[in-house]
Amino acid sequence: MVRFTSKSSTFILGMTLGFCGLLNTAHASQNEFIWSNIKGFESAQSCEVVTKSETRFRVSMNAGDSNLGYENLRHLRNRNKIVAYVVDGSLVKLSDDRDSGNYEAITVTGVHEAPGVNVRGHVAQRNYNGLLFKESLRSVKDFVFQVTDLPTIEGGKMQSDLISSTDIKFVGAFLQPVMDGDDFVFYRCNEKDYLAFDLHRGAEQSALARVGVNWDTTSIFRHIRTYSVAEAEQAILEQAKEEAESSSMLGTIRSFFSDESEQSNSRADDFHVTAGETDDEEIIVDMNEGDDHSEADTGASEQIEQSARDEEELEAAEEEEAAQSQQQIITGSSEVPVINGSLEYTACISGGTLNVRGLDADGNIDTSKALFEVRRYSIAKPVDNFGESEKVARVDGKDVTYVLVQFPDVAGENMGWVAKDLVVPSSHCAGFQKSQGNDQTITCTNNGTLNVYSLNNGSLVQSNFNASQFEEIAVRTDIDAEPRYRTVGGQRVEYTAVVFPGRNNQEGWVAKSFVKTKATCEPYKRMGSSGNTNVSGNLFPLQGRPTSSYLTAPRCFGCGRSNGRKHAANDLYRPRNERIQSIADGRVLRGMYFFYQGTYAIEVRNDDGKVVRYGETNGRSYANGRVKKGDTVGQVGKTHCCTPMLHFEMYDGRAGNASLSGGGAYRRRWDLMNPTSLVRQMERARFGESY
Amino acid sequence: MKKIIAVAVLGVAIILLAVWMKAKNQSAEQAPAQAVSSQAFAPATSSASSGNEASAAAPSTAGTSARAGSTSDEEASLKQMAVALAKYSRAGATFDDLIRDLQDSGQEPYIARDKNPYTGEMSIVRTKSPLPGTRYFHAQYFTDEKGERLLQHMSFEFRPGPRALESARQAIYSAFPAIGSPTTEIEGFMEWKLNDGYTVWIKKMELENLDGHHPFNAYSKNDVGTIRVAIEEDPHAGMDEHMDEH
Repeated sequence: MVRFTSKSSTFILGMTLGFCGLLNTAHASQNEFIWSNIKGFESAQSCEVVTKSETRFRVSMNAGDSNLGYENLRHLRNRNKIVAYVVDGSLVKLSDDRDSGNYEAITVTGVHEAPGVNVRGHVAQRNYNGLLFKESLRSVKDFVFQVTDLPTIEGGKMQSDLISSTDIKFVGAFLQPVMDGDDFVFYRCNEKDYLAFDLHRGAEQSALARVGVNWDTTSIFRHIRTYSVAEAEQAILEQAKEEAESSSMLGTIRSFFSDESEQSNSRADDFHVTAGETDDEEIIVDMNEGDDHSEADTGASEQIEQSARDEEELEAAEEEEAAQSQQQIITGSSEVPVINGSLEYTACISGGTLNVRGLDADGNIDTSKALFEVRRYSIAKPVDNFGESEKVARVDGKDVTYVLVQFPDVAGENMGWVAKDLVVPSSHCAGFQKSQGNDQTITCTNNGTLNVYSLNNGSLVQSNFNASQFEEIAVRTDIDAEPRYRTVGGQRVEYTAVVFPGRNNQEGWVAKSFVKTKATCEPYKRMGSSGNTNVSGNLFPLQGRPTSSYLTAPRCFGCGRSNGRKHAANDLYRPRNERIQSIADGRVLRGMYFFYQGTYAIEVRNDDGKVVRYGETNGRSYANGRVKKGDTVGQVGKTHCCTPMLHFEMYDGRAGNASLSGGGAYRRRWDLMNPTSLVRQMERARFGESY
Repeated sequence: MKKIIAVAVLGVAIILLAVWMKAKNQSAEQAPAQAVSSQAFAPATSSASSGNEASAAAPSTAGTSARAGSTSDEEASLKQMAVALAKYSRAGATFDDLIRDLQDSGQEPYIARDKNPYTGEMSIVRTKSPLPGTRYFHAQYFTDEKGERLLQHMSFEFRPGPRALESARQAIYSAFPAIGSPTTEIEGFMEWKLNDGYTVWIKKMELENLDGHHPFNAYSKNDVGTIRVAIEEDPHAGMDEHMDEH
């Protein structure tokens, strides 16, 4: 039997279910509810039933390219700026009657959360607002919405007496707008109109209830999956089958809502820019980086010169890894959780800042204020202080798990509590991955420094510092980061609001034309970022000549050891914390990992195919993705016992897909090289004749 | 005279009592280590709540690591973890066995697999629920050309305390019965170089050790005195000439 019917015929179905009161000015009957963000389900029996030809709800579906899977959400006041993208199938509501030409002002009401849909990164979250292309807004009457989770109601009373007296399980239920001919059916209660939805689920062939939703109180749609009518038929059949199996296995069905209630959800409330349920706050994200696909159009054609085949191979492997990790996240069924990638964690938010909380006098999370804020993709480290490192707090009527985290790049106080879902392994955060390497934004000048400006009474004035050439910057995405303009030489010049992470996150405005990524900055591509121009061959990795000879024991390559082993590197003694630079253009294969006695190592594959392990560093990671010759890859570390040094190992790259450990006297991979002659050559080139 | 004799007798009695107490204490410490040497992670005998006192400094954001001394549960944890270092660095010990043991002891292991086509796979094992008094367990395995995982580094940390370093030394002696005297011993640091290319070390972390840049672990100044216990491949195996020249 066809359960979901398309367009106007659903009302006929409703009539067969006993909802005969759904006529103009009729009154609702039993099993008819309206949704309140505060109280949850309330009876609709005192409400009038009315019909109207329009509703403010829409479904976003890209009209131009349905394969793309999303539509651009544009800035409310500047449609040339893309602030996020709206996943196809997301439920939106029209915000106002503003005439915006080919665009409608909308607010995202529910993000389509189908498996495989990445709901992080640049995806517009619930309550984001902006402009959407009119032709990409479809009527809700052609869609069915599955409620995959319900928000907990204030005071924790998810199941009011009213609902628990029924036999209706709302989580997992399918909602379809009720139609009367071409008109939408509404409940009118206290002068507010609630669009009526039929509720279906599982093996039940008939609608179990009706729920009215007003466009100002839409939290019931916080977690949804959107189906076409045909898809919904299939989905509900599968649900029926699963529930039948579950029922036969368990003998009983769990209570309403309980099965999903423990699912942890990302809390928009912890985004600085999305607090509360109001529509008033304008959210601006990612003004400068552009949307993912537009960047692919322009940036990809300007890739840094490199060994293309190898890069493609590596990127293909990384994509495969990413796909695997996505699979891991979705299935989540293995006994031991697996992170496919490094152990680095990041604040994975799509825009704005993330609030870091402290504790109140009772030791509970103080959600009333933030200790400090961090920007998206800030590096984070989970803290274990031999005690409690997770706490649960009530936010917006729902339990949110917080974890204790340190943000090492934040000056001063840098530990606090953040919503657990928002700090994830960086390899699982698509936006973070994209922001690294050649996507790193820098000041792109031909030479010299770049003027930085600050705001004074709304005008740009020269700041007290200038930016260095190729200095790493982050483009501000907050609401005060609107572009500013100055007239220079009769030309109107646009200035972009940026942050300087290397200067304690100092803020300023710089000319937009000098804000580029490493991949698109021509001067950067022509020279190493440290300014080592016209350097032929490889570059000595340290800033001074080693203080002891690496040609003699115990520092030399191949030096014998008492147990028959041989030394696999040149040990280059230099002061602690001295900068280590990449000897050639290349790519970081593996970031800092434990090496020896509290020091770390990093692996870089040079463009000529050779692999260098820079060992015994102090752990600070500077490099990620592509590196140019001369780029900082680390700093000299110091073991607990011994002289600070760079342990310099090199491989010719023929061994391929194996780690650097191995057998033989060196206990290394078979393609280990003796780097001594190269090190001498580099040393001579930099400091003159060697020992 | 009688008073002097009485005082002397009392003094001798106190000394004897102290010696007896110390001997009893040592044997009590060593006994469980022998018991666990064949099984790295026995299920914790009591809840992890003993580790929570430090964080009871409620209004503080992160709590503190230091306190007067470790509990018997925590001492037992230290020994269990030291045994794990010994057991899983031996030839024949497998990655899967380590995971299983960590699961059985309720430590909730998870794995990070870092893989690329040029230097293969590195697998890191961490735990979500460490044994009381311990934290930041970290086992780092590389996959060799034959596809076998080789332990390169395994470590954990132990809560600061007045006797923490000595407790760690005793735990190492229990877990590695034939290890002998440290190859290197300087203030706050001991290292034993093993014949199989591994080195075992324990380090009392000072501010300068915490103030650096640590990709995996988070620290604050409250962590001064934390004991780090590690076993790892020694890239300079068989030599001691790198000792500080200053």
